[in-house]
Amino acid sequence: MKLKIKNTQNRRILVLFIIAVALCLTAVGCAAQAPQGWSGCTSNGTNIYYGSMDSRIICFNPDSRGRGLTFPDKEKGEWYALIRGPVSSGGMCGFGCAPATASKVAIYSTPVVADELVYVATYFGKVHAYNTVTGAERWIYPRDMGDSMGGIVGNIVLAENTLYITSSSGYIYALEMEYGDKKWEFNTGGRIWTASVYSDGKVYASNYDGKLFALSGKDGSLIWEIELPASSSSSPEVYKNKIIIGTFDHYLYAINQLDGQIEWQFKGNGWFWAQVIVDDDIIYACCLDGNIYAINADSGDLIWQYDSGAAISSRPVLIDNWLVAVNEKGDLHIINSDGGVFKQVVALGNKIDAPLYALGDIVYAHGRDDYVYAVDTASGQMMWKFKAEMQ
Amino acid sequence: MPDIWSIVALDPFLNVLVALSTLVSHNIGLSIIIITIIVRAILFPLTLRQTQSTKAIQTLQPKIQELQKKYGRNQQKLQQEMMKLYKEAGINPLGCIWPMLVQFPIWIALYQSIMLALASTPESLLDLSRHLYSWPMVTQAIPLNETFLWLHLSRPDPYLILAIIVGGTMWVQQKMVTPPPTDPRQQSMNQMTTLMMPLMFAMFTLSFPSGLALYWAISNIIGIVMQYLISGGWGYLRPGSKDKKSLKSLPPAEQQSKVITDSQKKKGFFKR
Repeated sequence: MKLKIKNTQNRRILVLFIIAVALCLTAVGCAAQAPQGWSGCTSNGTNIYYGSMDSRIICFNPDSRGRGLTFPDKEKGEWYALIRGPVSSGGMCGFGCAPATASKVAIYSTPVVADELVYVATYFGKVHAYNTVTGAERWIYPRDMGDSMGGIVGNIVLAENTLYITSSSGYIYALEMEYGDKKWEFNTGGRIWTASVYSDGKVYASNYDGKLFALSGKDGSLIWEIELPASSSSSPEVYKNKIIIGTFDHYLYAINQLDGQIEWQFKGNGWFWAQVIVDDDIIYACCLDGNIYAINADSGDLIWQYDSGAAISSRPVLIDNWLVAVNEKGDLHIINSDGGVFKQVVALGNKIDAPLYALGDIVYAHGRDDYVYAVDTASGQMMWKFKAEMQ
Repeated sequence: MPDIWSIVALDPFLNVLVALSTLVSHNIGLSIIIITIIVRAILFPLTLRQTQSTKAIQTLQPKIQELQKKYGRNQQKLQQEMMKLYKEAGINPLGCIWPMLVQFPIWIALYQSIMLALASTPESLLDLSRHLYSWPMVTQAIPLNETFLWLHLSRPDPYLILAIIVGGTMWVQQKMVTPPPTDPRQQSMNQMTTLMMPLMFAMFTLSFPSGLALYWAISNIIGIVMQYLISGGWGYLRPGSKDKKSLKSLPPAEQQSKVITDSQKKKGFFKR
């Protein structure tokens, strides 16, 4: 069969046709997003650490950033380390998306600092430990380049010299913190994109099959397992023998830590995506319906609610009597935690999914534009914003 | 603020897709198959009309070629005579286009809703929340179970199976409706087009989420079944083994007319 196209006009029509099909698929097909990450910030008291969207762990000094000095300011102990991922075989949806050789590693999990090490988990399924001062990598788990624990989305939990990690593979891992040796692993049977929580020697975690597990923190043995009314949308939090967890059916549940019984439930108008914070018997829960709910931790009764005007996916922070939360429009709301009275809104101008972090009166928010915004909650002003450009 | 497209098209499709999965053991793969069948069934009258219009224009091809030979140098006269021919035959030359235009946004909405429902990354799961209704059947279904047979629907098929199915079924469907060219100069172009689209989509299947490739495969299979019922046979893929010998001896234009006439005589689901 001869496939030569002798006619020039036919050749042009064919080329235009192929381009039209490709453009159509590009225009309508790129609904699937490449993973970007939404790491929050953490600190060792002096410097701030976070995972950037260009696959780096960044250590910056707030004072240097406030003065606009060139990054990294080595005198102030700033550094960054590039986390290398696998060589990708290529993936695309349409013709405009991820290039074939990209090896970017998304970082969803907020780093954790303990002593002289900072730990970061990646969507590639590895945990890295770096020296907090020099940025030198101390260890990586799994050690073999090709091995992976499964994409890690939930935050690392550090307790009793052990790192507890949940992964997309459905496993919960416990790693020894100094050298990264595996202590135990537990297979939940379903994908986990939320963090675990540690309390009183036990680890609690939920998977996307709608199951909540209570495991021994020491050896990973199963204590109890329950089936939730729906799969969990938020990472659990523990307060006074209750596990507080949000689910995809728009409820927030309080589950007895000892036997897994549901004590009360609270209904919102959207997913409770952000992990709640609890203080003084009040649960502050942010919802994708745009509301911040203050809920009585014992009874589950609503105390007050505040409408921020847009979905809130980021975990808020509490600074003295001020609750600080940011919605998907990038509006950072400072409200009084006693009555939900509005104090101030600071427009950051960019979507924030990462949990907020507070150091003193300053709140740090890592945006989808990969900038870290520093907001002084006392004055209600954004002080500066910072993005570590690749050099 | 949700856009008009999401409100009118994308969100309804997406929520029906998700709600359907609740009825079929929380299996999004089965849900994709069912909704594809439903949408094609609803659009069948339009598909039928489009096919009939296309066929009607094809029956006039010999006469159109005669006109082109006669008035080839006078484009204006040629156009006039062609419009006169269409009018006498009672055919609207654009009759095959508007059904396609009506179907196009529906296919785009279905395509996008599948991509959105699969929520392969945490960001896409979070974005999905903006499009979901608060129906209990929808809230209970999230997150969706993305495994179906050997597939993880949010990832490309690691084997060649779906790519072969998508490419093969697309080729069969095209061959069924594409008449052999009456002009030998068009033959290579015709062959290239018939091969190019199936090959292209087979290659896309290797890169796109397999949930989308599943939709393409099912849509093609349904298209083949519909075409078989409409035409009463395999159309131009196998224009009747008895007639092959006699067909070869006829000039190309008459071969085409004979194929169309023979297919009309066969017992089809819809006789013309």
